[in-house]
Amino acid sequence: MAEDQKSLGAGLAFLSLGASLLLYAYLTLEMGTARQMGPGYFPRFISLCLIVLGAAIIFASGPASRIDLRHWPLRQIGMVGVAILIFAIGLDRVGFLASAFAMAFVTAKARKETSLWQATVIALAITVFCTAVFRQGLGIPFQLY
Amino acid sequence: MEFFDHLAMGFGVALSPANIGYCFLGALLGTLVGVLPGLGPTATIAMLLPLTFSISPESALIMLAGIYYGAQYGGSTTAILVNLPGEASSAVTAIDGYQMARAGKAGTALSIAAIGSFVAGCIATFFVALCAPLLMTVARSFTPFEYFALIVLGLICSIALARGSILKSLGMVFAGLALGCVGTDVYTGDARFTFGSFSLSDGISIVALSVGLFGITEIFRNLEPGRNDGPPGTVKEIGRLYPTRAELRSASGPIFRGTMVGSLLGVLPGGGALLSSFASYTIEKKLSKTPERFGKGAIEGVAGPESANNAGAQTSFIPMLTLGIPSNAVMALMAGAMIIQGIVPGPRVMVTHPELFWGIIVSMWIGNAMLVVLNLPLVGLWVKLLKIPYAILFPAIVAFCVIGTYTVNNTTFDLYLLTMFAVLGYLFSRLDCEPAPLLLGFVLGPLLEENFRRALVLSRGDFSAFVTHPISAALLLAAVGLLIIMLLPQIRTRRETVFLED
Repeated sequence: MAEDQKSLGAGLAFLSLGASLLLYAYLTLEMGTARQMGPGYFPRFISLCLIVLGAAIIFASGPASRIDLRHWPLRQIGMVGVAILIFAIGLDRVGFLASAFAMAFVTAKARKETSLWQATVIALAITVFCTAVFRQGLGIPFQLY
Repeated sequence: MEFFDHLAMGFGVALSPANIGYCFLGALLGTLVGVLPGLGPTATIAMLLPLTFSISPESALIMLAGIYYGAQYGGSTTAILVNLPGEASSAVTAIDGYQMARAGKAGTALSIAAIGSFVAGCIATFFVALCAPLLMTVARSFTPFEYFALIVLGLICSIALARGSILKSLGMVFAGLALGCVGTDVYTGDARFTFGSFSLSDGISIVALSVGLFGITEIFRNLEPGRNDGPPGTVKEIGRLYPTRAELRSASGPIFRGTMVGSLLGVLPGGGALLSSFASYTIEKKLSKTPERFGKGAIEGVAGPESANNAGAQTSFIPMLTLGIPSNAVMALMAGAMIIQGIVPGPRVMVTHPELFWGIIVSMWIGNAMLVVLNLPLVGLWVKLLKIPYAILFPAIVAFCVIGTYTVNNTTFDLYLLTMFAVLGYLFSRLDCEPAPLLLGFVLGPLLEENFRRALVLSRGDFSAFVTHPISAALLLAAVGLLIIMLLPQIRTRRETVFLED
């Protein structure tokens, strides 16, 4: 097991990003020559650099560090993420008011200590506020319902 | 005098009733959001960016500049009152400002910060008005070789200021450059990295990227288990708001020195508010006859850095407006906003849109004046804002971010991107990778590629042309030198102690 887990993680992230971009560029983009560059020349250069950097980060790892998932706000990340998706999907189907309310409600509940009742009140207030700012204030033609 | 004609034109634009209104609105909203704990200028601007897209370019940029100063100042207010700096540049203010607040002198610290910022703003405005045209003449002689080298230097400098490992920051720059490649290739019209999606053919929306990385990620961090949610403790009494004559006298030196330091450092690529406030704090501590007071509520430790960061914030507009090369994350957002408005930042802006150019410069000064007018009487309101529980605040911020991002392109696709970048941003922050270099890489990527390709067409594919052009060679040499210095372990440890603030 690597001592410096954060560097290992970051290195792997850059390495895999670089490798997948390189593969994608290789498959879809023409490289061209330095004199007449194709759309794939620069991306290939960038992805090679990412691969080299990723490897360098793994090898030059610093003091020991740990990635401890127990300290991650997984519930909050999941719920806020879902809330945004609810808004994105709901907007065209159930309109602005309902989807904004649902988004704010789910987001508010991402914090465990907030009760259902409190979340309802918070979500209502936010819906009213956002309708006032974006629809009335900025004149964005949202379909309200 | 041409100089005064230009300023007069600027005043004509900036003083129109509508633009004064937008400047005021920007400063007010910027302060309002900037005061909220944990939201620094970058997050604030990203969040409020969508509000400015429905108005004319001049008004939008004037409003954005107002938002920027407001956010900066709001961050200082939070730093002084509750010791929760939103971004590293106000971390310096928190050192002595919070100690002053604990001693019951919060009002004095706030008013010195406002006065210092205003003085710095006035002087820096003149500095910008004088220097920008000079730099423009230099910029006109730049060929793609020099531009390429300058962008490389800017990217390397941005790493110098990021916290943590150099290699990781460099990785973030390249990740940003890679994200910048997404979209349609300008030369051939080929779709790059779009995964066959039509929504990506215009590239990744800068608003989705920056709101995700800076706004929502910050919320995830604040919701980490074991963190107290919201501002801890109560805000102390504000105390007397206006400083005494003696306090003003001891603050005046630091204010002027801070302004000078900030104005100069702001122009450097990678410079801006952060570097300026650190430098000014160090200088004041060195010059002081009683350096032991620093860290315990020294008024010089608030006056100097606050003036410096405001001056630096202002002069960091110079490279963006004249060369089209943003020097830090905030300027990258500004450049992004200009591009969305249909104005490509660069040396041509001053010729094709002089009213825009000079209007922004003068509005900087007006924005600073408004901050003084806004902040001192409204301090009570900001204190109340700090008492809003985080349980209410964060759903509101999320909703605002999401709806704002949607309105830029009216497409829900950007919301999927937003979610992705929010999660990615959190992941990166857990791996100790800073988001600022990524944003800069993303904005500068297309520019870097364009100049790279043009340069090699001009040199017929000969790479040595980058070093046979003297200016380009010097800039590249500086970039390489800087990189080597940063990678030397000895200096790295010293650098870590400079940035030990959090």
